[in-house]
Amino acid sequence: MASQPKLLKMNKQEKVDFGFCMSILIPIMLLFAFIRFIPIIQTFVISFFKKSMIRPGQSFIGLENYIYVLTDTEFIRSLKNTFLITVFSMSLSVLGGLFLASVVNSGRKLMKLWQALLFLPVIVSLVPSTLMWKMLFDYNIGVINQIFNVFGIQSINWINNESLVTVPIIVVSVWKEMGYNMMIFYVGLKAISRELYESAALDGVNHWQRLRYITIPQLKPITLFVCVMAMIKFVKVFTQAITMTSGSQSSGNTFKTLVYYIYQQGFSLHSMGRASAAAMVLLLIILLLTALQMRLSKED
Amino acid sequence: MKKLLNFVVILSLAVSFVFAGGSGEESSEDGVVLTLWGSSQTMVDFYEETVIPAFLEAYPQVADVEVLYMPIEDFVQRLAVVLPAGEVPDIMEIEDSWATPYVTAGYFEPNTPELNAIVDQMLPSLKTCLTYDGQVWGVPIAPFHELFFWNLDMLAEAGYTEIPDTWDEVVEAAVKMTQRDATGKITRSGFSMRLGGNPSGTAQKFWVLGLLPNGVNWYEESATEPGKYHAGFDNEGGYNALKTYIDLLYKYQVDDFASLKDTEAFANGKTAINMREASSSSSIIEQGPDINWTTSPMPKGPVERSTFLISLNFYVPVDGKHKDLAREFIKFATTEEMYEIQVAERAGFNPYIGADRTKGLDERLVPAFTDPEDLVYHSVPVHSAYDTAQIRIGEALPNIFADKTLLDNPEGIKAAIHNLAEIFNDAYKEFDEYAE
Repeated sequence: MASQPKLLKMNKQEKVDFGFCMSILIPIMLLFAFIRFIPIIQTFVISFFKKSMIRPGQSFIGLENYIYVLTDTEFIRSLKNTFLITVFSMSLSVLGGLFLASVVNSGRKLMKLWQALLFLPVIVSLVPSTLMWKMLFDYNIGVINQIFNVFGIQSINWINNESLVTVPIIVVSVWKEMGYNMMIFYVGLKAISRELYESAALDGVNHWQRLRYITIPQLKPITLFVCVMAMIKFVKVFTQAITMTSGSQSSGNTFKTLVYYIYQQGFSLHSMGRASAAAMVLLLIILLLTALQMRLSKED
Repeated sequence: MKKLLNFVVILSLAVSFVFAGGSGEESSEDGVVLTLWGSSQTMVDFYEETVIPAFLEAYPQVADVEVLYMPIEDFVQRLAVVLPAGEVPDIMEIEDSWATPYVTAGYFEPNTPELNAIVDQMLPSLKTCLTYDGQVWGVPIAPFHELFFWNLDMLAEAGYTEIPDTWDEVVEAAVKMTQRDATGKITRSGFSMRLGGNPSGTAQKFWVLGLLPNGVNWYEESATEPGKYHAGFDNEGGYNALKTYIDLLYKYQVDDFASLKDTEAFANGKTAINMREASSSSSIIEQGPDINWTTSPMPKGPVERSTFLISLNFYVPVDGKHKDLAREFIKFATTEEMYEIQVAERAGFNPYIGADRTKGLDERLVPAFTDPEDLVYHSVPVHSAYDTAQIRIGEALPNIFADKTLLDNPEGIKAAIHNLAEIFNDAYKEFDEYAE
């Protein structure tokens, strides 16, 4: 005999509670659908059309926008740049966050103050903080080049060089993200039972073994969460790139990321169809990378 | 009591909300507030310090003119959002090539006869890049032309007492003024080349330094279908233009990708020659007060001595709220007297026919404003595809410049130029403006 649906099994009070929860959740879910899913569906539809933002009308062109985007050297270049930033920023911000969380969790004096200071970059707006870093890396007045000069190293043209500008962009990305990762890891470290460490101490386990066999496995779900979130953020990197390179007289190509490419297709080149196709490709990349990370985590 | 208090609070909020929504920006007591968006910081200073105070005095019905400045990249991309949405200021100051897609799409008002009368008194090439479909759209407010900045100390070190005048002489001087360290790395470029950055700028520099002196332009009108175009540089002129760049980089080695570029390089004594518009002189004076410099007109190229004359123009959006007053402001800001002040304040270009363009100018800029008889001014066309074509070509050029194998490789250069022409033609095909 087929089991009854859960709703029918509920008693009167549970049904009232369920109804209450639904009455609160449904408007939020509808709002979420309106501001999230409908634009995604619209973007998907537009990606099959030739459409400009500034001219009326559109025409169906099938997969042409996707073919254009996937064979466009600028898109490939943007993809490479985004990949580079994502790999370095994610690795450094996750490792840095874990290290800082361990330090803050050590229980030494003034750690709460350090925690607050290290979290500060997270709450500072990205545009002014990128501008601040841009000044630090400036060829003429930047502190970083001035320190180099003290050691006899010539000033480096960080901002105006497509290859070198990745360094300040990664630095500002890591600086901004590390405090957030630290807080998440800190919560994770606090949640690990003290008894596990005490038992291990009784068994004569050293510091490295505690990290290897207790801390890292216990932090696995947190680490996965932090990596997925960081990856999604860095694949969408835009503000740092555009603010850092804005107005620069670079040699070679301007530094472009995937979101920058989408932005340019839509708002400079007026091709909303191509911008939408590139946005769908970006969505697919994020979904694939997230699925891959979760799969690897399960296999592990 | 509590319920009553809540009711009063909610009612007062609702009332204030309704009345706040109803209050416009132009109450009869306060007068009209005009809004102007611009992308040039020096022009914003000129408006705020010179034009607006005088305008407010002459037009008491206007309470204020609010100027919003945005860097050019932000400004151009914002246009794509605000113009279709109708959330526009009363006056927009935009460079002609950036404005073209919006002019052809009908987002701006054509000029009134009064505004046309102003444009008619200016150099004809400025009118050319404002004319579309038989009407004129916009009034030039900040024209600029390309010129050469020279570091006089470096020139003297190289044994020169006069400014080189032909392109061959420029190359020779640039070679002599280039300095390297023991490893051969350039420590001071002889000529600062635009090898990348903003794509439109990269394409623009290649146009004025490469194509125009070699007698060719980006586009050529179709002989069979007037009003449609194709690439005009897939020929000997285009070949010579690219060869000039490749030779400067790899044969004469007067610059490289790693060196500091443009005005920043010039103001820091890291380059001997820079090609730029006159308004960049303020940055040189600020960043490099000790630099001993002068200017010259563009040198005579293999085919012609050419420069471009491009302008920031005032446009009145179709959805603007105070179009008549906006036009009054435009008339006020573009008088010959205002231009004379602009020349003195920000090294502007006075476009009035017969005007003395050197009046009030920093004496170091005077040579570049004293036109040789053979100087030809070029302007940008009002084609819908032009801007897109410029961006795509500007994105492709850095990779071509970086290709060392093009040195002494005529077939490679021809192929690269042909690829650029294909990019150009594809953009024109997209806008249905292409014909063989």
